[in-house]
Amino acid sequence: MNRSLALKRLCWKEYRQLLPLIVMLAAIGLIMQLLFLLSDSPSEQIETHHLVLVGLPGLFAAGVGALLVGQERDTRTLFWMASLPILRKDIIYVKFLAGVVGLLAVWMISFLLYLVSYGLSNGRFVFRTEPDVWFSFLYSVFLLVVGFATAWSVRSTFVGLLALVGIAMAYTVASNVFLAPLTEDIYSTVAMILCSSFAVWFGWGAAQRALAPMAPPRLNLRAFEGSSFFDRSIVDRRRIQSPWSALVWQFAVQNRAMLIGLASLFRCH
Amino acid sequence: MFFTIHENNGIAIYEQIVRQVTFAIAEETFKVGQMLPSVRALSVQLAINPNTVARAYQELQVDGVLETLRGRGLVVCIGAIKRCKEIRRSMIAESLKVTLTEALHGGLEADEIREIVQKQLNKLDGNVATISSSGEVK
Amino acid sequence: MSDSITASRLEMRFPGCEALRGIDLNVPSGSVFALFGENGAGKTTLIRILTGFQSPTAGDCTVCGLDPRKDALEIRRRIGYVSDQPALYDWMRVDEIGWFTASFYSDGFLERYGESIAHFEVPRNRKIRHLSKGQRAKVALALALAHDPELLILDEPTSGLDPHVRREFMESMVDRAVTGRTVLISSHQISEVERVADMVAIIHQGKVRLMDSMINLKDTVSEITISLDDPLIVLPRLADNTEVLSEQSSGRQRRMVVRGFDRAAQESIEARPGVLSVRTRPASLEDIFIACTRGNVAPAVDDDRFGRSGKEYDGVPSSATGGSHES
Repeated sequence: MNRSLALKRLCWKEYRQLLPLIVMLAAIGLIMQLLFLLSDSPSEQIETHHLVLVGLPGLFAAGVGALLVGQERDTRTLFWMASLPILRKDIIYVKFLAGVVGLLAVWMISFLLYLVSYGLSNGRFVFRTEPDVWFSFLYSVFLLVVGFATAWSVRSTFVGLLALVGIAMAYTVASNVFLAPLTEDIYSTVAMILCSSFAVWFGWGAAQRALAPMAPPRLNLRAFEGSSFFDRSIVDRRRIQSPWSALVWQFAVQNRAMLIGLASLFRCH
Repeated sequence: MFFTIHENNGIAIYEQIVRQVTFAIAEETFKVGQMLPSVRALSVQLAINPNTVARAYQELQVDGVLETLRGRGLVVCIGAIKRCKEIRRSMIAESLKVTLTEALHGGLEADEIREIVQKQLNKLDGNVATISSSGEVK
Repeated sequence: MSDSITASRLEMRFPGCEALRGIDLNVPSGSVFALFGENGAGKTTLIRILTGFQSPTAGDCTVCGLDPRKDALEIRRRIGYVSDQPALYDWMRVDEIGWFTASFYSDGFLERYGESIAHFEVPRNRKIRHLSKGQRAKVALALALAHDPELLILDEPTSGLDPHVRREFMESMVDRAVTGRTVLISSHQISEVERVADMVAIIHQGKVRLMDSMINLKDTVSEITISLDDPLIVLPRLADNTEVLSEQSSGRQRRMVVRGFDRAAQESIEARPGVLSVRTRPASLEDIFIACTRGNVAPAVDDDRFGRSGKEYDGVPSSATGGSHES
């Protein structure tokens, strides 16, 4: 097995999976920039152009974890890959690398669209290069790494996205509370970098655990897995009364850990 | 040649192959000197374990029905036809023995059985064109 | 030749469920080994442990002489694995997935893959999402075979597939056997697999209930039907070399599936007053499977047999656990 060839093919595969997302975002960005070019109020224009500039990469960053990891987990191709003679760390690295490269590509596309619409607007709005563009870039990186971390650690893609939203909100809230009094930008930057680094470390561990052989379960926090062939008490204990309570029960049981996390999030808000 | 293999009729698969080859030679579907399919080819064709085919071929060799042609495979021996006819005869005798034992055991008298046999023979004789070579006992 | 797979006292406990309760198993190199068991018996758990997807709670195993816990990557290089409803990249074409997978293996992969695909008549240019279920299974099989693995593990690969495709899978397995490679297949299609298997193991409630060569099983296991005058007759104790796999009563008849039932045993039963007849016929593999997985059968009221082994009351004779003759 030629490792560099293997890595190249893995990159090709991630690229093919990302391409639809990038193309779709580019199309949306193009349409939005053009549409808002037509609006009359200059201040409105500035805001929406700016929004598209930072929104596209933000969307990409939020979705790439779900796309590259969550989707592969749902379709089980991730486990098929894990059954091939590939180093598990190669799988993890290449996905992350693809995410980062994709993010940079989307930023470039976004900037390009911004410049194009600036050019077409004949200077009707002011070109912004304020620090918050830089900050938006950092935030998109933060979303990317947290997105990967939740995608690797949470079994359900949908709940992973919810977790991402929750964590992003929590970060915003926390930074408003703690960092607002500090006017220096450096603090925000450092905080962001620290949190991102933590997310990278956590995500790496979660990825390793996801791909490694499942260890024999020790704590009973897992949802009821494996057949209850021998344990008849499960059947006797539960008396389901209505389909809705059954659905709620099923959702709650499957996503216990995340619900606890989200609930505590709301409590501290 | 087409083989018919049943997993569950009580006869081992290799034995079914032995019987079908024997019967085929006896009725000259296989000619003397004709080559049989290789173990690999036959096992893939029938989707059965190659060891089973090998065992069947081995038994046929021991019976003097097949012999190896150096480097090429197994061929029908000279004199195999006569041997196979003998073997076929004894297999049918065995098969009849089982049926007769069952009949006697079930309480029929020897004369009753003879009557039944004669009636069946009268009905069938001349109406059976080819002999089925699936080797089934019942 | 060493064994392709060995398992020793493998256990796997999940919360609320004991999937494997001490599995001892040997798959000889070059054999076609069939693994049968009911749904939930532990077959898939065992295969997950062998392929390195699950760490067992206790016990050891080796695959191709290597420990899945230490040399998982090397094992993955040497084995091919096809699961039930294999997961493939839907957006890739048939030839693309072969080209993609070839990069993880050494040379020759792509040619062999191409030959298999041509042999299976799967269109090369079609996307996998547009393939039928049978064609997908064939692609998965082609991918698993293209690196000529010394061990092929198939976990119910033909469930839900039409007879043509099932036949093609069996032919592939026979082809592997002819070239001396090992195949482990777990399946519910007993009669199909019985044609190609050399060895059989039946797993029931997490333990190996029976493990033997196909030849031995067919030669030595029979189904006995005993007609009695009186349903309460006590049958004589059978010799130690016979093993009763299951026993049922219905009115004045008893039916048993027995291993090693010889003339002496038959005569000893026929000699009992009240026994009208004893009929035997060779047990099919399905009969054997049902006998082994019936479990918990109430035995005949029989002081003689009680004396042989107290454990027989739960329908699991003590001599069954993996200690049977292996070839």
